[in-house]
Amino acid sequence: MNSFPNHLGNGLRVKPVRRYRAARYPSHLDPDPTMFPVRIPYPASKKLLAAVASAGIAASVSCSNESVSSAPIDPNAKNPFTATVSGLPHRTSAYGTGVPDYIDADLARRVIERTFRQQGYDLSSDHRIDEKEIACPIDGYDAKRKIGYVFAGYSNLENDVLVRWWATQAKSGDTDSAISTMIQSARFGPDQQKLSAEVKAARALPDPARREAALQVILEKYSSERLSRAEIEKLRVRAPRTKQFIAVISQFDRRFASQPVRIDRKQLDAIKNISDPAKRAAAMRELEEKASRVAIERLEKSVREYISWARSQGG
Amino acid sequence: MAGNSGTLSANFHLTHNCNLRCTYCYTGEKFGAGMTNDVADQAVDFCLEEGQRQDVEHVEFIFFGGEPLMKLDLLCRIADRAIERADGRRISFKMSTNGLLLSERAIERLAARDVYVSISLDGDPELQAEQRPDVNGRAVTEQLDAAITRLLRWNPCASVNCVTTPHSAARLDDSVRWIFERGFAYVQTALDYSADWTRQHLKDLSQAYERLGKWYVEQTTSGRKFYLSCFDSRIHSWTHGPLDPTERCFAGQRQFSIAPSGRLYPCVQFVEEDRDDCFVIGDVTTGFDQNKRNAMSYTGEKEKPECGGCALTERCSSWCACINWQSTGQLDQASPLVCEHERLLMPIADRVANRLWKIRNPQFIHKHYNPAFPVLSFVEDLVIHEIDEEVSIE
Repeated sequence: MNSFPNHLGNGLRVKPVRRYRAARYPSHLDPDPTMFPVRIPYPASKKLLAAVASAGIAASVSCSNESVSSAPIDPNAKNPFTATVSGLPHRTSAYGTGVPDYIDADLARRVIERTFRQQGYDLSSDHRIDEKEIACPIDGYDAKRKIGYVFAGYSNLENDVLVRWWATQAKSGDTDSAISTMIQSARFGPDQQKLSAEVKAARALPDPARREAALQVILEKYSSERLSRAEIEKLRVRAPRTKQFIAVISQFDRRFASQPVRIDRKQLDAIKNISDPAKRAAAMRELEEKASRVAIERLEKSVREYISWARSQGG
Repeated sequence: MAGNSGTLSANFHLTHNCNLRCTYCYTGEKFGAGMTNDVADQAVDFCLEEGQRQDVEHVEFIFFGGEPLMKLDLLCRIADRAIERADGRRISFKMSTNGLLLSERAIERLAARDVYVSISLDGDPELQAEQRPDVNGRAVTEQLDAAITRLLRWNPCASVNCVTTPHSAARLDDSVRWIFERGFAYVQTALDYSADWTRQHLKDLSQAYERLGKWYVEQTTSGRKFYLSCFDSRIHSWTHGPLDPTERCFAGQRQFSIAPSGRLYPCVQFVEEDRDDCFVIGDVTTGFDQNKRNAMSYTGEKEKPECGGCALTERCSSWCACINWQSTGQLDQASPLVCEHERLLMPIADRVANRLWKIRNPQFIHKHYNPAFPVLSFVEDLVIHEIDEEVSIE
């Protein structure tokens, strides 16, 4: 007969876990990640793909991006990523209610890069522009064909393009005002304490000229990697001349946000009348998925339009 | 231990005898008594009738022991009779073996009956010698090595049952890596629940899991396909939700064990030497003692107040009455070892999955979310196996 172990004597206990940090990967309640928001093909091994290719059906599964798509150039194409069309400058909202679900940055980058690849471009992520008037890292850039994109969000937009609801707007040419806005904008961010300490030290300098210079250095230091309104505009204006096309795609662009209410108002109203909570939740989930799909399709379409515009400008 | 939805699982303990003396074995004293042909025939008929009575779509015959290959003729007799009398009902065969008697001839006979083989293997030869010696206390490295080669040549999808004891806890990552390097792709890990685990053992185990987690991420990102239950089953509990009640064994309801004598038990853990009436729930000749069967099932399913309010309840295996009994001596008392183990392993498994999800690893995504993955993966393996065979012939 079994002799039972002495777990209790060894100090082992049944102890309910009161708080557990939920996993970040999708649960059974989330949409199927193999299909949504983008379809992820089965990761067939190279050996299998080689066998399939040698069987003569390689063409049907080929994803070659050796040459740029030879689609005809549309002379009427327009740049879909100007600051105005993208809704920049963007002012954040104080409350969550009614705010659209802005597209997830990782997802957006994947969609953008895939669209570029489909059009035959080969983007790499190790490029940056370091010029007198523009300095910023580029998220994806085909150096050979001088085309790429920057996905602009919280981490790389200057305070004059991304205005936090709690921050006042800086007065043009006023260093002190710009510094105040910078400190306010850095609230909740990782730089907050460091920035505040440096500004405090600079402001304590008795000589006004030295104080101004120190504050300028701080401004330069904390904003050099971020895209300002002026830089975005310069990138756009000079593109046809320099033949360097960098699309600045905003994370806050409402075209790529998913809002069920904008997708199907009637269906949303119908869902509100479903009495069974489980059925109501399922219908809502379905509508949200549809909204996200529509948003992604819009992003893909805009990237294609941008490429078309770049080609029409000699890119 | 649970069967699938619509599956009735019957464990046939063909013999009490075994050619190994594993340090943690829970099947009791080893002696020559084996199942007779008459009992085996009655047992097959009983299982098929029970399958019909419960109206399950699938009856699973699992060969267990002692060492079932010591009774290979009987095993084949049972399989043949089941095939003959299945009457359209889906049946399948599985066997859990130490592999020593897995000769070419044995493999041929098992293959003819489509028996899926799981081999018990705790790790490298040194650990095997320590935990799984033969009756004279000697290592069986060479016989085992030859058997593994034969098994994998026959079925590259054969699985491994790897038991972790307090003695081997700190080496779990090395053990698992050794098993995968040997060519296996499916590994089920389990703890020796009857051992005296201490906090230090669990600390060692936790560190081994951390190292194993890194290995899991590396292997998955390199495109390797494999199943490692300690992580995959816990990730599954999040990606697929809590186990459906219909998928559980309910100690003696959807799954039961048949001792060599023909007496019925709720699970493999309770059979031991078959000398104690306490957990007997019937006999293949007279059928189930429904009162005892239901009482055991009811006791095992009772709510566990000690687990009240736990955030991991739906992902934890504290529902398993057999493990609870093995660990605490009570069917309805959650095992402190299971609880401590889940609390240390669940966050590691989730971190592993978070890491793979963060980089949107397609292998990870398809393995855990694509219901067609097992079939796609099997077809792919089959094609690659064919290619390899052709290459080796050329």
